[in-house]
Amino acid sequence: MKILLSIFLIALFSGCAENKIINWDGSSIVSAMPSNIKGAKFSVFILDKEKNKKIETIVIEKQLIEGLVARGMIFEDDPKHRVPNYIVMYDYASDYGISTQYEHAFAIIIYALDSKPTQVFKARLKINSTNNDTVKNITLGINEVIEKTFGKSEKGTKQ
Amino acid sequence: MKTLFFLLLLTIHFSLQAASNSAAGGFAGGFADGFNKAQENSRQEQAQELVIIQMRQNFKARYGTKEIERLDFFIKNAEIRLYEIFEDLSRKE
Repeated sequence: MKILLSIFLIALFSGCAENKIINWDGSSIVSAMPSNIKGAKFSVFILDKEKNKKIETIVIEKQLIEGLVARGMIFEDDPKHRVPNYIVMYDYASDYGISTQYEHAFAIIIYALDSKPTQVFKARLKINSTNNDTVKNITLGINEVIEKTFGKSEKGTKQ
Repeated sequence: MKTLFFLLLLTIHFSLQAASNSAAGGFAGGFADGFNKAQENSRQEQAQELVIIQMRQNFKARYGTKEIERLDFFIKNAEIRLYEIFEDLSRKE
């Protein structure tokens, strides 16, 4: 019975995976966040400073912050005066793919600020898409990473 | 019971495989037919791969985007960026 159920589940999930534009094949979560993140303060920075002033960056960063706040973390917007528990670094990129035409990538790296800054989380997600809407596709990526890492939010993340 | 069920599944699997091999000429047409077909498939796959590589190169030449490579560079050097952030934060003091 268990074998039958396993075969059915494998078939079901392989079918679902084909329809999704998010592709975890080239992606990895190399380390897991500490389970108790509720109430922890975090500040957000982009890896590539040149993207700092882009409108896309502002929207993507907002999505990321909302996703983490929805999981109980507290956003610290003044890290200069109030030291956060975590530094969250992220970046995104778009390129021209082949079969799906566009490839997007999203990366998130988190450092815990203990006595010595320690990398506690790192994920890189590849997203294949037929549209070149970076914000829309990266937002999907952000939600995927956050859900996979911290589980679904009761409130849900805003799209 | 479980073992019996597993054996039954294996039998079905191998029967299906044999049937498909037969259709491909493995049983009916002999070894040569199957071998030629496999070679042809392999040639087609290689040609397809070449087309994809060519398309990718064309895209790169046309649009010159290497954003994802740049992203990977920043991921590798995340620690440098971290200390840069610390420096920026302390400079503002």
